[in-house]
Amino acid sequence: MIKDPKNRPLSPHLTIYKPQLNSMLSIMHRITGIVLFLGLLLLILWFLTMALGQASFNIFNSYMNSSIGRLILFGSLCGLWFHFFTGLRHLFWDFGIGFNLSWVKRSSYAVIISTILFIILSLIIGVLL
Amino acid sequence: MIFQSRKGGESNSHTGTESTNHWINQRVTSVLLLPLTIFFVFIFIRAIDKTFVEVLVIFQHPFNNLVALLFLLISVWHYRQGIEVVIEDYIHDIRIRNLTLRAFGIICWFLSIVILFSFISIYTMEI
Repeated sequence: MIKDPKNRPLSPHLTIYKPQLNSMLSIMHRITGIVLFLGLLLLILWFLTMALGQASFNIFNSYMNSSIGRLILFGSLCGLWFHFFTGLRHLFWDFGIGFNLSWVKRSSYAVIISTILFIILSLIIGVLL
Repeated sequence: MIFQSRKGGESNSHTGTESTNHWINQRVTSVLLLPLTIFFVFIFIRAIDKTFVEVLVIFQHPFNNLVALLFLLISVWHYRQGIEVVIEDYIHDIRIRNLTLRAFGIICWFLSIVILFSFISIYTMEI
């Protein structure tokens, strides 16, 4: 035990923590949350250029629809649905629902499956409809 | 009993009530974002490859305009709440921490103004 309060071990404890599905989903929730700022900025710029008129919108929209733009948007879409479902699970936990280990394991798989389903659903609606 | 959090004995202005409010507010924005995210993604994903006039028509519709406006505004504040927790977890130097927190506060206010300006302009724009 470290007695000095200024030298206590501080978060993150990832180096001494055994990787498991639950902890991986938890840290991925945080990482996707941080990285989604990029997607949020792109969206804000998209609407800003729209507000500024057709010329600026066409330029920015062509960036958004370039292969790199599409890749970032697709990454943001995946990150968003993942963060959505892990966040939803965190909300259930906040109300004390689904806290025992067997439910946590089940909801981990539910999060992954829902994320994949919603990514596919978004693409179907975006591309086909 | 003293309901006051002291983080490593550092002089931090955080009181228990403040942290509780922060926690509750973060849940409020999370719950608001649940329906907004679903609506926004499915509106946006059908607009992305359309022309300027078509996109403008979509976002001049009051429902779409309001959904997109609320989604972006609440996302910015949800981001601020989230990044504050991350900063408090990982930045241990109290001065750098407070500086980063303040910087994100300014960035979020700036982005909010940009969003408001954009959506009012889009809504009132004549094609």
